[in-house]
Amino acid sequence: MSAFGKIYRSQEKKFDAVVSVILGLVIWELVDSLMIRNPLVLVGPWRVAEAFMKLLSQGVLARHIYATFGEFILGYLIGVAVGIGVGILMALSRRAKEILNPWVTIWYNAPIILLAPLFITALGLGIASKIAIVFIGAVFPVLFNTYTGMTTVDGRLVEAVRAFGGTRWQIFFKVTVPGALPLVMTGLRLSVGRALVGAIVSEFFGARAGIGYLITAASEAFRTSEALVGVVLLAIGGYVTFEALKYIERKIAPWYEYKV
Amino acid sequence: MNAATKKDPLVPAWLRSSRMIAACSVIIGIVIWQLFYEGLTRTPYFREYSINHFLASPWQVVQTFGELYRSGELFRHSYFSFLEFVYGFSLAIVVGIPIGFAMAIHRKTNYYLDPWVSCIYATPTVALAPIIMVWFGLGIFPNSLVVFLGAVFPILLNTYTGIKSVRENLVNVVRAFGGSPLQVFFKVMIPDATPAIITGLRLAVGRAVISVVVAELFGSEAGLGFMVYFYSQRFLPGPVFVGIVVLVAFGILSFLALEKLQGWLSPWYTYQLQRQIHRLETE
Amino acid sequence: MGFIKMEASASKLIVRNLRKSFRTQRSEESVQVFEGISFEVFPSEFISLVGPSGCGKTTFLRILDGLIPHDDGEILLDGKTVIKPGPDKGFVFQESSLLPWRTVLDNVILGLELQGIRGSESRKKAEWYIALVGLAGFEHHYPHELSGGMQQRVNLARALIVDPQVLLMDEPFASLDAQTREIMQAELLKMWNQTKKTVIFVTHQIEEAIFLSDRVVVFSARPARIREIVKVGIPRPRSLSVKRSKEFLDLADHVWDIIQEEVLKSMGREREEGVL
Repeated sequence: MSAFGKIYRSQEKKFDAVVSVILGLVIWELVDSLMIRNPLVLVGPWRVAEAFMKLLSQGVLARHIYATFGEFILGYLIGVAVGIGVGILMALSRRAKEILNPWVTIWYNAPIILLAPLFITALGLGIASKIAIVFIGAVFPVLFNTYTGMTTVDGRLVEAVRAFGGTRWQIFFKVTVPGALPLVMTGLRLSVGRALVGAIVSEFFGARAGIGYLITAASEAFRTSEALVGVVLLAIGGYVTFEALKYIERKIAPWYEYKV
Repeated sequence: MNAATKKDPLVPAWLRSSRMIAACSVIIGIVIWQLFYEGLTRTPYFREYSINHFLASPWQVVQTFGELYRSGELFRHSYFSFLEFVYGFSLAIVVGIPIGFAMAIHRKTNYYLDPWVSCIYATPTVALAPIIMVWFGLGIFPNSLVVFLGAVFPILLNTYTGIKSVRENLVNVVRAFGGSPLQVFFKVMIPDATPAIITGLRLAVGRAVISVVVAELFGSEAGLGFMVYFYSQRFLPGPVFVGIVVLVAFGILSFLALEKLQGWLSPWYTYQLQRQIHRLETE
Repeated sequence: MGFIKMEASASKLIVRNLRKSFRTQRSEESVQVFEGISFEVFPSEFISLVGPSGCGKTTFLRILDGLIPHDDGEILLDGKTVIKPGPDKGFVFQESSLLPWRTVLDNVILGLELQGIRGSESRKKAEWYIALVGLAGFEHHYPHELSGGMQQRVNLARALIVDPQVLLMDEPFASLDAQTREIMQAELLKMWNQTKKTVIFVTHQIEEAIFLSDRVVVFSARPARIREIVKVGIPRPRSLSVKRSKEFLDLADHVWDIIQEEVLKSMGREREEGVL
């Protein structure tokens, strides 16, 4: 087998991915420049790139990225902290679980986004309202997964430690917590999506800066290419956060196997 | 389930069950909310911060619900949103399941589509809503498109996972009898993957509901999302809460309905889940 | 009832010079699983395959069934080459492989269904086989409602209903507890007596192999070849008490000696390769 063949064999997936992306971009560009004449409608990757450079040179991008990133990170971290805390509480105390469970179920499935206009009326157009919405988006998946993670730890492992005379707290720290980690990480990953949606949509409802604001403002002014820049930025941001979390999960809980 | 609670012989057993406590918790929560609101109205903060512009008491919500219901406005908006949901969700099923399936069984398809799927999955699809409005205008069709984008990926990914995790020894059974690939597909793959696929549907419902609301923000003249935005602009939180309640109720009902469906189609699945879960109650 | 056929006296199954190798995922090298296996099975014979763990017994069985392709050599069933799996070879899997969404009856019928045979005839046939394996009355139960031993019986009924030329059984009792296992062994012999199928049975347990079989094929460690084919002369019908007879114990010792040798050999090799 040739050298190229060998490399292809082992890296086939990445190779195909790159080919596919390039192919997709090329087709998109061709469709744009050859077929659709209306610049308002479809915008090829080349023009998106141009818009990107323009915004970058205007110094505007940094402001928007900073704003959205700030809302996202603050709301997300607070949400994670509260989510883990309450999740642990519900796992430890059956009373707490029974009392809080109906509320958690309701809010977990609720389109929290709808509270956005209310938050904005109450807290203004600034960052506070956005953080609140991001927080609410992030907290429930983390909470739910933390709770599930802690309660579905393999009972046999718990029994083993107890057989060695382990106290409740020892069991908690040596078995339950590590055993729950994979699911907690899953919760963190799910929260990223919701938190991001929270940040963007709250900006839709009313903001002065941010990527969501950029998308809305650009769309209303029919500057579609700029709006797409915003979307691409979000895609990159989301992807990076995802991969970062996966990396952290591998470091913290390497024993968890991915079945897929 | 209802474990024997050792304390408090004064309170009868049925009152101590999980369902009862859940119901009480919700009721008490609502009562506290009402009292909190009442309390607020008596403080100077109420006037100063115009709290009645964004907060409504449970009683107000109930009253507003009555008004909107009687005027037919609630129905009109709900119907509009419901249509968008149904169109978008149905399209997501029709597109998502076959693609997820194709990616699971055909390696090349998987390798080629994977970067796009991962990338789009990480993006909040609602961010595309304003752009879609520019491209396609206003109305049910563009809104349904946003719903479609929101719902399709959980469905696709869960179908993929479902088919990928079909148990190989079951496939081998049918193969050992000389079954054709088509028979393997219908007799093993579909039944074994069904629970996962329905889980995908349940996940998609939440995202679809959010997509409905966001899509309606950008210029519909009807729909629950529109209603929420419209009234919030006029500082009337009552209808806003009503809208939320209706949407939440719809989301929960769909979720539960699908759960029932899953239980009906695949009764063996719950049993399998129970065997995998070890409950740990530490009180 | 007309479901049992008597076989002719020519060889049922002939294996000649079978070779198979696997390419492992990590390295590029291939591992030779067996080199040049040959033997013959006669109609209505009960053969067991034993050998050290990992020597490839299960792989071999699957190759016989046509589930996995082989690199070299030939397999002839009733004089015809085996290329793919089919109802002429019944395969009984080790793990629970009943379709969990089907009742016992629907699981047993599966083989006929796959051949396109439907109707009340097949249902009656299924019921007969379910009774044969001792599960009459459980037709409408689901697999998760049955114990391990019962599930394996359904497995057996399912394999028998298509009237296979040969029955291939891959450690079917491995997941059962010791007591159920003993009972199932006796039951299996009873059923074999009634149906007179040619059986090739893979197992880890030497006693099980000797108790059930006419001949026991002992595999060497990997790359596997046939070390010896031990003839079990104990007359039939055999009851479980036979396991304590001197003849039985001598045979068991003999087989164990061979296997022990092979196990030590492979451990020695693994130590060299740095695995142990």
